[in-house]
Amino acid sequence: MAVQDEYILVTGGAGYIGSHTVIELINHGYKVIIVDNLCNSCYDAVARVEFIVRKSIKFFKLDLRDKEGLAQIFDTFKIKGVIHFAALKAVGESMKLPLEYYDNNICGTITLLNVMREHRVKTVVFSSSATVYGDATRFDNMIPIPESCPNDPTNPYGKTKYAIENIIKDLHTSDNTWRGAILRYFNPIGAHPSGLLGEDPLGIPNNLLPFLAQVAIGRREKLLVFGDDYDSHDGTPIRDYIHVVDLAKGHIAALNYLNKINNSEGMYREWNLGTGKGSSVFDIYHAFCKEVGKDLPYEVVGRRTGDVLNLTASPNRANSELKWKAELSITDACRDLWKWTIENPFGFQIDNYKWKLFNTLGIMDYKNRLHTICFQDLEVSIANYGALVQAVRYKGRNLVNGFNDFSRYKLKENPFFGATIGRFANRIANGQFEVDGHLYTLCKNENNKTTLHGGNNGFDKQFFLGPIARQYEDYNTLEFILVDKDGNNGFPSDLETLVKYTIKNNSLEIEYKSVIPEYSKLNVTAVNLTNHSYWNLASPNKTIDGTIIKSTTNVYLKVNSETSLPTGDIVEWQNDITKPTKLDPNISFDNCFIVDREASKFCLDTRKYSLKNIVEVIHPSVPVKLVVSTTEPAFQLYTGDGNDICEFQSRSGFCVETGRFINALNNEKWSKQVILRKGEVYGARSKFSLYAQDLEENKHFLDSASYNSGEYY
Amino acid sequence: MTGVHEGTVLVTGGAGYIGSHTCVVLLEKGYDVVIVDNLCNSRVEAVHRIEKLTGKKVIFHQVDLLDEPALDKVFANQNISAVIHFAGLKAVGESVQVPLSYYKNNISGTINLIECMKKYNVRDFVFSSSATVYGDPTRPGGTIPIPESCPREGTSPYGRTKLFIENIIEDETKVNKSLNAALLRYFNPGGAHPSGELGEDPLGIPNNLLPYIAQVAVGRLDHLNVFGDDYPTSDGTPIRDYIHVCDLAEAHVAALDYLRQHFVSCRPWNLGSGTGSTVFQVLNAFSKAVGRDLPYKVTPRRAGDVVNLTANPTRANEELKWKTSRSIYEICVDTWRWQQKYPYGFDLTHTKTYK
Repeated sequence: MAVQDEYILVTGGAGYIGSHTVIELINHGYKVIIVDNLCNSCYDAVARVEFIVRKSIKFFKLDLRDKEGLAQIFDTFKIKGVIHFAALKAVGESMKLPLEYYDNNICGTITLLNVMREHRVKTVVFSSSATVYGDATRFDNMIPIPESCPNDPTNPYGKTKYAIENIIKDLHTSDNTWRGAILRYFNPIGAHPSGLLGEDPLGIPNNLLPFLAQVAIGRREKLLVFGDDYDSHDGTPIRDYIHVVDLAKGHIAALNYLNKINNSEGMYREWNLGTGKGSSVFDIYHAFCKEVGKDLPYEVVGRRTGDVLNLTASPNRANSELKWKAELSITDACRDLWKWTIENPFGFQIDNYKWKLFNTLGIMDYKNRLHTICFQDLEVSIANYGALVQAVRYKGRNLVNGFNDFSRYKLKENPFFGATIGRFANRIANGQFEVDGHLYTLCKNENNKTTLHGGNNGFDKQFFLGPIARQYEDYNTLEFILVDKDGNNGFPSDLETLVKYTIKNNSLEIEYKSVIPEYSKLNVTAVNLTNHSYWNLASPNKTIDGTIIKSTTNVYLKVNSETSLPTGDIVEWQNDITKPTKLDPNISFDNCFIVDREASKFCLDTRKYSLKNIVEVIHPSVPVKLVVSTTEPAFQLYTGDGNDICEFQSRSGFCVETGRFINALNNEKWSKQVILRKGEVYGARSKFSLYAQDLEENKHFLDSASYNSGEYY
Repeated sequence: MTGVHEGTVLVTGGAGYIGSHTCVVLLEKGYDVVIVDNLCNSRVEAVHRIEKLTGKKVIFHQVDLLDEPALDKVFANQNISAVIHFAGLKAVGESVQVPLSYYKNNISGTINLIECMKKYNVRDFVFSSSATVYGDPTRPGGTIPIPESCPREGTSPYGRTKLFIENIIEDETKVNKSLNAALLRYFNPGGAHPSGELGEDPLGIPNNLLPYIAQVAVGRLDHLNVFGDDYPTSDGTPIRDYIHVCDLAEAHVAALDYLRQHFVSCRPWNLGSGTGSTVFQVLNAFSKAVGRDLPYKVTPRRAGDVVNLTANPTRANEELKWKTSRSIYEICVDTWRWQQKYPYGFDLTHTKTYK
């Protein structure tokens, strides 16, 4: 395992093989820095890697030819070794743009090696290719191809690999403490079994399986089989196809091999990464058709110039020396590729979705981005920081308080604008709770007496991982994940939380799911999650006064006027808010309303319940209606009195914070709403729906005496 | 042809040994010359000598090919019609010690140069390659004397930069029909300009046989080490193809003339005499030019040395209408004249001459 605070630099770590290798590195305990110029890859791959491994990864958008930028990374971090993937890598394209391939691939590598040399980092695993062998069939008895096969690459891409192999070898000759591992791969295929990561099908796929996948989803008409008259078992050529996850593990094996060398020694060695079992075009075709569940159209056409019968690897050297071998089959690869393809038919390209960095001016830090889903009427922007809702624009009008300048969210006056609130929303008396006989003391961030919204370092101040952006027929989703560590703010147990936003043309739904992960040493904790958006239908630059609110409930938790903590009683609100209630400076709320007082009916995971409407909101001069619905037993209604930050003054927005009862932790009757144990799931759903409503309808809303809960729509 | 304007040729590394001699021939044949050289391995004095010998003005830019903006400026300001590319680090032994410097200077510099040629629509390109791209031609697949079809294999970082650059040029010409390239693979250059005003600047310990013998002759080195006298040759020492630097220079201009008349896309030519000489044959010829026997010691063979690396220059003879016209003896006489006149090369702070 890697020593603490030592990093492996992965160049091209956002690419197909690089991203899979980063996952394996982290699973093996390494810390990783990714450097990638993203000219042929997407940062979304890195975001998905973080999501898969549940860890933040240091990422720098950088071209390897930028020597100063690269040196700065080596100055800042202690780098133990480098895995070098960064390169342009399409054989066909390399023949059309040879200078770009030579410049990018060779000159980038030279700069990298120079910076490594200057920083005394001398361990490099290089992503080479079997293309360095050229046509190995020019020799008798050279199939399966061993590492000793003479090199004669036939295209610019292969020549750049050959050149770089030799540069690293010469470097080792000049200074034999360099450690170079050259991994020559055969045909990479497949995808991550999660379905979240795979080869991005930008443009026309170059290789057999990705092309087949495109045929399967209808983006390509048919597969062209270039010759079925070869001397093979079915007449089609044979290649060595290897699952990308096996390839990734080969890199870890090589890195571990290099790391075992004594400090004063070095080495240079090549290894083939292949299965040793060749498959023909029809073998691959049939395996993939089987996964898809139907035959796919193909046409046999003439052989291509330069194609040969069989280019299978001999992986014996890697098998015996690196203790590595390919474990996954063609079937595994086809299954994983098909899962990736159907879940990501356009790869990392998602309709209705765009993102940009969301940083303090001058900073470029990819851990915080602003993700925007755009439909015709509704546009929602959500940031990684706090998984916060930064904007909800309905028909051009932003209905929530938010900042365009990220640094403002960091101000201490920020009253949780748009934020995801956790580990425990609302208040906990005395900043402590007892469960199973253990007393846990939490961060008392409110007047040094109570814990409010999870403490000083709650979910609202953490960078969520992801998101996974997905598109469906008439909605998109964004899934963020946060791992809150055991002991943070005093809460016991590690907690893994998924926040999923579902956005349609007129609604934003928020779903929460929390579990205590298997690796957590403790097995019990407290959870209560909500969203803290401040809504204002009449924004911008107006208060909520004049807004009309109607709720489905008129009962709330009575609180002690001094502590704002519940007394345990559930009582009627002094006025009837099930009738339209106009907000004015004399009407303030910071109260927990009860949707269903029979708390015993509620369980930890409320997601299976149907959404119940809880609040409707209009403004007489605005043709929009907001309807809030939830599966939760309660919501805090808050009118934002006393807020004062930048352009947002007191009563700049109101909150409908759905969740569990206040201080449920310390109330024996209610605590099962919020005590989570390992093996259980906390879950919740809430929805904010927006409707275009003309002013006449608003008038009708005002005239209505009441409506029947549950039957309104 | 003299007196008629033939076009402007950019000569990279034009202040270097072969580059400077080539500039003399270009100017004599009516070309205008623009030199780009970063002088890290050469001196501006060579440029002055070129002008003195030809009586013509040379445009000189002290520019590193790695400095893209500066190189671009040269192309923008001169109406360049062709390029002869010599610039690059070129000591085999040094390249083994500092390989990254060789790869960076030689490969990146060439890529920048070709990019500028594309941008400014310069078609004709003569690349100073080397017979080192053949590696060990006595391995299976090779033949002696070595033809252009001999399989290539770099055996040192320096040799590999030549091989990689040939690949880069060849691949670029497959897609870029505005590039017309000659790859000149020469064997062992020697000699100096017969005026005694231009020759190889003896910086440090010489890498090659002829300059080494010259240092022995002037007493700066006490003897020549002969690495093996037990090869299967007429006198037991290895055979190499030595070519006079002026013959080489004329070959470059012949190649340029050929490119102007023919679109070849990318074509290699061997530049050698076709006649091999052993170490002792060269030593004897040099001793004759000096007028006395020179001291030597026989030491063991060096790893990687092979018996015979003679060129087959038939292709250049026939297509470029070029062949070597100066003998090994003339190579020695001209080297000795240069050595006597300028024992420290272009380093004019030393005025001592050999008596």
